[in-house]
Order: sequence, then structure tokens, then C-alpha cells
Amino acid sequence: MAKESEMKQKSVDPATLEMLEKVRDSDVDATTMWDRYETMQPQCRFGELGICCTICLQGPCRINPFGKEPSRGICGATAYTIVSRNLLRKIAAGCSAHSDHGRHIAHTMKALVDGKADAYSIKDEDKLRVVAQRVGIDVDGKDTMELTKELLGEAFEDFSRVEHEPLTWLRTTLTPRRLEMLDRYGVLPSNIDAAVVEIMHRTHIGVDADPVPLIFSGIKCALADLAGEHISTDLSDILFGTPMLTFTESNLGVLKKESVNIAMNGHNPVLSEIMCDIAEEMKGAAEEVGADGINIVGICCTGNELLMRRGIPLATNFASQELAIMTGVLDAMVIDYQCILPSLGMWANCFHTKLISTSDLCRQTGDIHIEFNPASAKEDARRILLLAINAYKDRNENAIHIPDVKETSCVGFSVEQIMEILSKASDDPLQYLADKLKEGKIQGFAALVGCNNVKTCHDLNHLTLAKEFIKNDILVISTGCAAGAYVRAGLTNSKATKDLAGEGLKEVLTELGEKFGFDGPFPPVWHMGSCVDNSRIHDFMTMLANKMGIDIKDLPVVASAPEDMSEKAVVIGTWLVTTGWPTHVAVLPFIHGSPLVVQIAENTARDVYGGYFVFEEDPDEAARKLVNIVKNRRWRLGIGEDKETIYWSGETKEDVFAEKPEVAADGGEEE
Amino acid sequence: MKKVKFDKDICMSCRACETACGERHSDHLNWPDILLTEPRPIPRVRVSLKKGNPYLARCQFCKNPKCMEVCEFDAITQEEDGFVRFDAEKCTGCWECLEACPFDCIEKDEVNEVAIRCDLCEEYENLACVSACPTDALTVKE
Repeated sequence: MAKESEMKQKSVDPATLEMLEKVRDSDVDATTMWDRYETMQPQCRFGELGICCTICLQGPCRINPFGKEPSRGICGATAYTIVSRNLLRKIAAGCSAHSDHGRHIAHTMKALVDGKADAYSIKDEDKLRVVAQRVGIDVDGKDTMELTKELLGEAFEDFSRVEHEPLTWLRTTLTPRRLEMLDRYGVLPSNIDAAVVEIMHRTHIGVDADPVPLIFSGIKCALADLAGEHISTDLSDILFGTPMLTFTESNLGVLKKESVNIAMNGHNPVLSEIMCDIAEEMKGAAEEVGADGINIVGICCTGNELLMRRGIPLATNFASQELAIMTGVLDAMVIDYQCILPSLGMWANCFHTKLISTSDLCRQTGDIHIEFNPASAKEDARRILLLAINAYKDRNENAIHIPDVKETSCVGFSVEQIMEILSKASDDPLQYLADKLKEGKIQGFAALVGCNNVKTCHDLNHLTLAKEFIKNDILVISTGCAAGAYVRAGLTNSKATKDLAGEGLKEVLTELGEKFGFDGPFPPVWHMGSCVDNSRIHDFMTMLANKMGIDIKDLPVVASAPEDMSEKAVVIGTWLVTTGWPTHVAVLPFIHGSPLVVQIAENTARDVYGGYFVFEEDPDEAARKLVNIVKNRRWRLGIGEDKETIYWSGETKEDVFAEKPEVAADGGEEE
Repeated sequence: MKKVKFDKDICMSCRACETACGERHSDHLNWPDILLTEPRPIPRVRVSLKKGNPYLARCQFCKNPKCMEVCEFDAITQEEDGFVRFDAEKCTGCWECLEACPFDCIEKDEVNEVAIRCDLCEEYENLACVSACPTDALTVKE
């Protein structure tokens, strides 16, 4: 599974490669993720297969994967129990991360309602009313604060419900038939926190050992995660505004030598939004130290949130975050939480860059901690900005190197924005889309989501898959670091449509562009937000499925996390499968130590939920299979052509019946 | 002399052999206390990658050892059964043998300034690395 590290190409992003060369030729006393990956080789295959159990203190227990002893852990657990338990704990962690993020936004909103957060306001009242109505609140005659309070009550109820009723944010966002099915299988959670607790209990020594109920419990928690993500998205939109079309530039070239550069890294928009507000008024202070202003850029998903709502340029995504410091012009990196590399302290130490942590959840060695509090939001933001402005004076002129790489990006494809675009082309926007799907102008939709993983070449998988989809008239909807890869590689502008899109897709995007009064066709990749905004992807496709009177499992859609890395990716993949998406991952999750669990992920899931996992490490092969899956689903829906036999797995008749080459026997004995 | 066989196809790269080797060649207390004591033990085997497969860097006991050839201090000698002996008394820490070893199997003990490598656990009945291997990727051929 591990690839020869020396031969591995590190990245396809020119800015990243330029900075990596710079690191190589410099004497900076810090390592990059790629260096550390090489040092880590070879990685333990027990861990890779998920058959190392450290849950109780009798362990660690490791199962022999070659069919010899030990075949059971000391407690008696076999490979499938250990693999399932390990997987479940990842799901629980992923759900916790997304949902806690949602809860923090809810707390900020509560502070606003209680009159303790004057830096904030309800920016999108329309969305407040729409969401309130959707979750069953009577909105008539109620003022904004009253309604916000009631909505918050519903949101907090999803974190604390005692009754066995499904989560409000699931009950009101799934297709009716999906909801009924999930209820039948007993996997509808009623309380997000309880779903996580249930997993930690179930996977404790001496509790559930049967892989099937174990995995069903994982599914329940994954659905709780969907609700947690949805709460995050809805509340963020209400508090900070629903993203609308925005133009900006992305990649490391957006850093400015003459300005105070501040990178906002992490996931939660609660602080970064206020930072942007205050930066305007602090321009004078920046000029006093000789800078021409304050340049805020984004990294990772805080970057995506700012990109979508404010057109703040995105500097890098996850894998290359250290390299932003290497430019020598980053005066402060401000972090909230999730996907923050613990090596940033080491990097900040080599430069004048101030590493400022803002949540006591996520401290770093070498950081300056300014706890961010909604009640004192403006004051906290000012303190952070001042630190950055003062750091500007300490720059080492000789260490400055900004790659001249940036791409134009058109972002802001919230579901609301998409509906507005479609409504310019037709009075019935979703029917318009359904018609284009039936005509085959748009063959299907591909949700490209997820992280960077240094086990793959940085951004290569993201770009390979997206380009292949676009070429085959499959519209790409994207979030997270995948979306971060597309904005930086120039796939989210009109030029990408002209150069790369298939004829049908190009025609639709051009028509939509003309009707909307857009300068050229719309981009072929729609940036829908940060990783919690997978809820937007879920909403978009649920609306389309409802319109067509079918379920997501019947729609010609595929999902892929081509560089999956975090536990959040594991949980997203799980609910995508549960809601009917064929979901590809390129980096194998740690489950292949149990053929049974792999079987459940690849096959049984399809029988039960209609969605399933596709494990494929090679990006070209993955793209081929996923395009085939779209064809297969079109054919099953009765709108596709029947040119060749394609199976649900994306394999063709030739693949299935091809003679498999025999693996050459190779003793591997030492000389 | 004991011969150790390594099967790359069933090696799990878990490095249990490395830690067991370090533990055995430590003068200190019990695992994991030895990790809290300075100097840290130095394992004589090292798991790495070769052509994408796990590879165990461990003294091969070559018929014509390059390390012995380059040693100017006669610290390395070969015995009749093929065992290559490193004499810590004579070793000066010039590291010539490290450079010469084609298998990258010799480690530096910088505290004592001597070169070290697998001694086949001479003073023990079993080999630490072989005993620690959870999948029998390491086995002894007498």
C-alpha cells in the first residue's frame, strides 16, 4: 500500500512546488509534511489494516492478517470486531468535530440573542425565516430575535433531546422515503451528543462485538454528523450571510509584500468574520508601520468560509499550510481549530510570523493565545490585528519569497444562489435541471469533497477526477480542501468551462451564464463551501431528487474524497453512503484487516441503503469507474444509453471477466 | 552461526523487532523505563522500504565483509563459522565501516564512539527481533 517515497511526486500545484524547492535550498530549521512522511516510512501495517486494538489495557492486541495465530485479541475480539470498533471511534470523532463547530456557532448566536455579543447581527433574515419554517416554527408575526431564539431552541434540542424522535435537522432535510427507510433500520439518531456517547460506550471493552450492529451504530452517528453539519451551515448563513457569487483570486500569489498579511486557518467563521470587519478600521495602524494595508487571506476551511462570503482570497489548502509561513511575508497565522498542523509552532519559530491560537480547544506549542470570546469579539480581534501589525516590522527582507501564482476564482454557489441562477433560465429551476439531466446535456453530478493526504500527490487526485468529470459532462460540486484545490488550480472560472468542459455541460453553463448576465459561462466546478457545507451538497441533490420524485440512490450522482485524510472525511463518507451516494475514497480507510467489513462497505451497504464505497487508489482508474457509475445510474433511471454493459461498481464486462494476472511468487528471502 | 530469514511479504512494518532489539541492547531497566534513561538504546535492526516493500536493514554477515576490509584498527574480525565480530575496545569511532557497508546496517554509538551492529544476541538463547515478530516474518535458520 505504501508507495516508494523517493519516486513520489509531491504536488501538482506550481506554488507548492516552488515553495518546496525554496525549503530544500534554504537552511530553515523546520520540516514539511512531505519530509516527515518520508521519515515515517514504512508505516505499520497493523494500523493500516485496522487490526491493532488499544481499547483496553490488556492490549495492544494485534491480529495476524495471514490467517495464523493470534486470530483473536486477549478479550476474544476477532478482526471484524476490532476493525469495526476502530472505525466507529473515527466516526464518533468526525461527528464530534463537525457538530461541536455547529454548537459553537449556536452559542455565539445565543450570546447575540442575550444581548451579549454586539459585534454580531442577523445578516440574513430571509434565511432565518426559511430555516425556521423548514424546522416547523410558526414564523408569522414574530420579530427577528424572537425567531432566532426559537430556532436556537430547536438547534440545542438536537444536541440534548431525551425522547426517541429523529433529529429535527434530519427529519426536515431528508427525502420522505429515505427518512422512512432509515427509521425502519433503526439508525435515526435523536440526539447528536448521545450518538457519540453511544459509540464510545458500544466500543468499550466487553460491549458490542457484532460488526453489523456496530456499523449500524456508526451509521446512526454519521447521520447525526449530517445534522451537525447542517446546523453549522444554516446558523452560519443566518449570522454571517448566505454566500452569493463572488470573484476573487487564489493561491500563494495572493500574499502581498507591501501589506500586513494575516492568514485565517481552521474551520469556524465566528472569529474570522469579525477580523475582517475590524481590519477595515485598523488600516491606519498598518500604515503607521509602513505597510499599505491589511491583507487577510484564508487557509483550509476558515479560508473557504471567508472565500464564499467575502471573496477573501484563499492562500493554500491543508497540505501546504506550512509553506505560507515559508514565504516570509506572513505576519500572523490565526488559528481556530481542526486540521491545524502541530508543526506550525516550529515554522513560526523560524520566521517573524506570530502563531495566534484563539480557542482553548486548539492550543499549539509556540503560540500566542488570545481566547476569542463573542462578548469581547471586537476587542479580541483588535488585539490579534495589533500583534500582526507589530510583527510586520520584524520581517527579514532576505527571507521573502512569494510565488507569482494565482488564479481567478468565481465562488459562492450556495443552494440559494444556484436556485437564483436557475430561475433566470426557467420559472421552474429544478425542472430545468432535471430536463438537462434527462436530455443528457448534464450527465450527472459529482460531489468532490474532502482533504489533502500526503500519501497521494498533493491535489493531483482532486484535479484528475474533476477534469475527467467535466470532460464527460458531469457537473462538479465541491467543498473543503478539494474545493480549495480547484480555486487554486483555476477550475472555478469561465476559462475552465471553455477549455475543459464537454459540449453538453459547456452549452448549459453558457446558457445559464447568458441568462444570468454573467460575463461568460459559469465555471464547471461549483465551490459550495467548507467541509460542514457538505450539507449544501446534500440539500441540493435532495431537492433535485424530490423534484424528480426519486431518491438520491436513483440519481446519476457520485461522491469522492480523492485525498481523504481526516476522521471528518470518514464520517462524511459514511453518511453519503447512507443517503444513497456511491462514494469513492482513494486512501484506504483502516478497515481492510476485515474482509467482512470491506464487504459491508462495498456491497451490503448498497443492498440496504443504495450507496456504497468504491476503494480505488489510482486516480485515472477511479475517474473511469465513477464516470461509469454515472452511466450505469442513468441507464437504470431510463435516461441513459445502453452502449456497453456497466455494473454498479463502475466496472465493465471486460473488467469483470478479464483474466487476472497471477501474482508472481517472490520469496523475499535475504541473500 | 544462527541465520535469520526475513520475509518481506508478511512483514507488517510494525517495528516490533526494532524496539525489542533496542531493549535487549540496553544496560538499563525494564521496558519502557529504558526510554526514560540516557543514553537511549540503539537498535541494531531497522525497518525501511526497498522498492515499495518492507526491508530489514540488519547485518548480513557477508562472506567477504567490506567493513572488515576498511577497518584500520583490526576491530572487525571474521570467525570460522562466518560470524563477524566487532571489538568495541579496538574501535575508534572513525565510521569508515559505516561508509563501506553496502547494506547500511552499521549504526553509530556516538556516546561511546563505537560502531555497532547485530551481534546475533550472542549472550542469549533467542534473538530478540525474531521473538518479537508478530507474524513470523523473521525466523531463525540454524
